[in-house]
Amino acid sequence: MKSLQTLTKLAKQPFLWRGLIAFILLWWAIKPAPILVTLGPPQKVVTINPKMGVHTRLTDEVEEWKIKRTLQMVREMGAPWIVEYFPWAYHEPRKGFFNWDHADMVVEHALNQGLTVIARLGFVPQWARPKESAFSYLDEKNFEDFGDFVYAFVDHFRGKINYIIIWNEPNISLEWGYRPVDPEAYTRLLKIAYRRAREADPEIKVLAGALAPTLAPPGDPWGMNDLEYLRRMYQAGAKDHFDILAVHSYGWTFPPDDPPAPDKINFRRVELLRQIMVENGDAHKPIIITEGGWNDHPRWSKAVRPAQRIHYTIRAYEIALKEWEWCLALCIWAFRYPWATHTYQDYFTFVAVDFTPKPIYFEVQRYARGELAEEKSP
Amino acid sequence: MLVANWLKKNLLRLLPLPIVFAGIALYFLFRGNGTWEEILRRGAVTVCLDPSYPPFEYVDETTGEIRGFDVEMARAIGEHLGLRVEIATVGFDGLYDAVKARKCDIAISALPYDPLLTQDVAFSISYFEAGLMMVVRENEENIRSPDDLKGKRVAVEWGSTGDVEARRLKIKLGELEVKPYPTVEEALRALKEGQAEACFADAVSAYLFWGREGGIKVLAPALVSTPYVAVVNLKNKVLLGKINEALFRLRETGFLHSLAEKYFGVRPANLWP
Repeated sequence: MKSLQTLTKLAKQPFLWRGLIAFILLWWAIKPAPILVTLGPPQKVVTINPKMGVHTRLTDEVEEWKIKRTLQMVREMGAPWIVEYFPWAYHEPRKGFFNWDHADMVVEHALNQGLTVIARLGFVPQWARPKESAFSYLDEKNFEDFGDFVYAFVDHFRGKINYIIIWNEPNISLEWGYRPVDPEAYTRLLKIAYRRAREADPEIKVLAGALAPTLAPPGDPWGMNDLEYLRRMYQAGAKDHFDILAVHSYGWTFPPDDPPAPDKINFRRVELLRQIMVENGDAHKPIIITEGGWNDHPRWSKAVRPAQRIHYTIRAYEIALKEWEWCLALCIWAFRYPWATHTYQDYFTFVAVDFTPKPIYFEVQRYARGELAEEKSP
Repeated sequence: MLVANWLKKNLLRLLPLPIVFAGIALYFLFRGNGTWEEILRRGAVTVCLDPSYPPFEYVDETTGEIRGFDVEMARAIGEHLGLRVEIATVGFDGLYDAVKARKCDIAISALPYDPLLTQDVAFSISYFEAGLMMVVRENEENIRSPDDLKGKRVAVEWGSTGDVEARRLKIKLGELEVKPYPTVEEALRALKEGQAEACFADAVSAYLFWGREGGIKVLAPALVSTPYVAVVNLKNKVLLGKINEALFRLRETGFLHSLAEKYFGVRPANLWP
């Protein structure tokens, strides 16, 4: 009680309030100004290969200058395409309440650098799934909620984003809420998303699948063979509900020219998926490889040497350009991470966390500038 | 006032409270380290490793046994602690989790010290410097540091950390020819054969080449340090202290140098940073 009285006495002293106000004013006057990041003049990508792309990882990048620097470096490397993740949970934290601040920042900088954005949509918010369920769990009764998000996203970015991917790797359990995968259910989700996207923007291109390459045997609880999954998507009526097939195409230890085979995961496995599209009357539809490439971790069993990774990556871009007329873009995983993962994943990148370019960055850049072709010619 | 009245009335009831608090404090002050005691009870320490990185850890194809620098060092640590060593194999990417989840007591598997993981696991002192080294021919006396390479040629494995550092040095020195080769062995051979005055290579590759083919020497300190360390659970402070004691002893007695000689065929001057 005594201390309460003392406090009351103190509060009545005018010098205290004057001091407090002076302190706040002083703090406001001397606090460092926020870093000013402007878009800068609009840029264009200069490249000999317009199909070159990378998957960026700006979802969790907070600082605007880092977002701008990343996209500048993508442009300077000569890649006109990026795939970027726009998690549903981040942008619709409550049903019907949308926050596009971060997404706007990424998209504005990307467009200013002359890049084409392919938006990957997924990551279920807590309000649209049961408690304790995974971020990739979406019950059929909430499919329309996802459709509403797709509508809002496409509507908001109309004229800025022309490509959206519906979900990620739905053929593996991890990405399907740790449940047995279900191509028929995914196709029902795709149909809703396609309808809502077209309602928002009739020009939008909807990418289906983003299938993970896997040799999972029939009945495997962790996933379904991507070839089988695509066949079942067609059987379930997916054909008229997507414009482009998204494919993940990793080379592991095989060179990019290693021929495809149903029992092998390599870069050209995408040709088998293409064949299934042709068999189902979708020869006219393009494919975009939205993830892929090689890893050069010194100890990972699926990695190659750094020099091989450089050769294979450049050759892969060449294959996409010269041999696969049906391939609209090849977006290699991943340009840069916001922080180190401390696993083999760090060895997929072109640029280190601190923006130091790896040699592969410079070599791909030389390729995009046509310098490698000049060196080869006599 | 209300609180004061309540305290007066219930003073007797509250009397045992300080005794209870003192008891709890004494328990935390003098309780033993459960993990270390449990290891002592078992009489064995479990060491996790991924046997896919010779010469540090690999499976002997003839006997099927796991062998290597790390395996022998782990057994020497066990001997120092008076404990049996049980080896458990875990995939490289699962080693930290294995320690965190107490699936094993120590991970010794050519793991580099990582300052960003010190909130997750505890690291021992280093037992091997595996970083990027400058390598020169064995009779070279004039090149002692990267600054001596102005106007010279540096062989590197294309795309490697050595390549990154050589490109960086080229910007600093202005005059430097970076010569890329498809593999680190080819870069080291190019140095030996006189196609370059230096080579930037990781210590493991450099020592293996040096021991096998000779004609080169590895200069310390490392250009980019990558110290190999043992990893234990953050709560295993007693075990960490014992491992550090053991490693000090293995350093002082020359045991680690003799292991290097056995597995690399050379006796590097500076084996740890």
